[in-house]
Amino acid sequence: MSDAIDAILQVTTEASPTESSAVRAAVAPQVRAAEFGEVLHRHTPVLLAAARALVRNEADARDLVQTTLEIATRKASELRDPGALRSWLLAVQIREAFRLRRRLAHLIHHEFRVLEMPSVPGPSADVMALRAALAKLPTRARAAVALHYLADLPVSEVARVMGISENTTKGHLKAGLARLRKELGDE
Amino acid sequence: MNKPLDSIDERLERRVRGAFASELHRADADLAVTPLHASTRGRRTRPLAIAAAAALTFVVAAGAVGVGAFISQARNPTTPSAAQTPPAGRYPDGIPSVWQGERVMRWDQALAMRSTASDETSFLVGVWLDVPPNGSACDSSGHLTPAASPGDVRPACLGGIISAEAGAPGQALSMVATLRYVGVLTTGPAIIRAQIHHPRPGQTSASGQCAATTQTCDPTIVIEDIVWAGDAYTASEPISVAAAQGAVRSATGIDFEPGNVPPGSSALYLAPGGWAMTRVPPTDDPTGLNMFPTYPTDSTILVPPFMDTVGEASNDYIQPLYAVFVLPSPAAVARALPGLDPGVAGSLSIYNLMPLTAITAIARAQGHEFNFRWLVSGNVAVAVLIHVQPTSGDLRFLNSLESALNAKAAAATH
Repeated sequence: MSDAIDAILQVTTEASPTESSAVRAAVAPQVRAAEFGEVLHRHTPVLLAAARALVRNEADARDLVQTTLEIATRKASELRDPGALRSWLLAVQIREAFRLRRRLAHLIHHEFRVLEMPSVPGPSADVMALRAALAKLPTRARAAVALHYLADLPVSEVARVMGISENTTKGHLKAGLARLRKELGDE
Repeated sequence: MNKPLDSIDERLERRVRGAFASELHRADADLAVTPLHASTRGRRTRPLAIAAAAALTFVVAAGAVGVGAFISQARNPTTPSAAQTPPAGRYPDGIPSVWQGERVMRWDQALAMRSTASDETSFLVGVWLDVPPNGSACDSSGHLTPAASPGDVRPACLGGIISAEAGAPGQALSMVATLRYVGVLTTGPAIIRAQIHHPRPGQTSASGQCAATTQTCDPTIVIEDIVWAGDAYTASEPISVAAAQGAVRSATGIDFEPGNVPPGSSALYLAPGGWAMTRVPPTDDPTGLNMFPTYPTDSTILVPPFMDTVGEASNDYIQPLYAVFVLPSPAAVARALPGLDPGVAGSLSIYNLMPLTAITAIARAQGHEFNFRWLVSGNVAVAVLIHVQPTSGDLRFLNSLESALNAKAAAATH
């Protein structure tokens, strides 16, 4: 396990005063791996919610989150600011989602008709309406809206995660909201 | 909370944030029930009382016509269900507990082996498989369809394929296992031969990514072989796959068959261990894509009347039945659809499936409000498309279908 993961663990466990850096340094690598897994696990709800906004069925969303976690484990050393783990994970997921979208575009030549078949009572009408409206947004606008309003990232961070300028990000958000307003009948 | 963008309606932003907050809450709750990583059980099981209820009938919405959610208590002597006491040498779901003299574990025991196994000695595990007939959404190096090429599959590609018990969907088991089996995979019960501390963990992934994370991959449960794949004791009951096909055909004129599921459909992930069937495309459009609905003109066929107009308007493939799931037993249906409550008034009306957004929009524009619902009869669950407020035509359609399924169930038990 890399020093980067140690740094992440250090940052994410600051609230645990019982664990000194000396103790952590003595922890066996496999234990640190398990702890890192726990740290990643805390972010899975926001990753899954964002994934559901990015891809169109539950299986793909869960696969996307799992792949994101696998990539994060492999590439933890690329995280420069351990305090920015959440947005880094979202960035990894966004890139993977776009990659997945490009790959599926070659394999599947029609839209999925059944988006999901939940076996529990359905969500509220507003949530259903939002999902339907989101599905009609262009991919990048959808990603920007999800990152800003779901993951609560500021515009500057959305821009960084998506690898675009702030102005372009604002453009995606405005266009996305305009389309949502139309689709949701919120004129 | 971020400041609203200039010129953006704050009311809309609040609405979007509120809906996303619900989505975040849902994700959190879903992960608690079906985590991404290892857990001993995928989904909660239903009360046995439901499985024991016989011939329950409820009245849908308006209450004018009964639409049964029939759970048969009678058993075919050759295909007992999990509710029965299993014979010696079988687990309650029918999977042998011993195979050719070797003990067969269940998945919770196999998971425990990940931390206790000291070498790569193989072991047997009883599982349920749900095999996508058209392959998976994985990349070309991880296809699942039977082939002569090596059957390596990335762990993520196994999503939803392995479950601990029939009808208990989830990704948990798939996340700790990888498949090296080369051969025909079939939906249903299976005994797999697996091992931990595989000597070549770096090769269990088609992309080789395990090589870089040996610590993660070393405890992976590597499936090398499938030594048993069901028998008469574990066959679906009381309604077999063939009987379900016949019932649907007689009631609707529509042919359904296993293995005709649209690529990428998540329907497959709904019911591990059960057959998912979709409509056989007409011969003039073998792909079944982007076509106008072509229902039989036979006047005895009951198709909700709005289908044709909506289908034509959307230039899409509209059908009143989306999929037919044939699971091994009513108990397996109960696990696959844990919220479904057959026998309770109105239960059909609350188990909505995700609406097909494009079609829904067109239907609404034409004054229709409809959604997918479940019709359950014994071990068969059918996704049907009817009005939100069922019309008399919808109810006749549902009753016709239900009667046909119940007749098959009754025939199987006599």
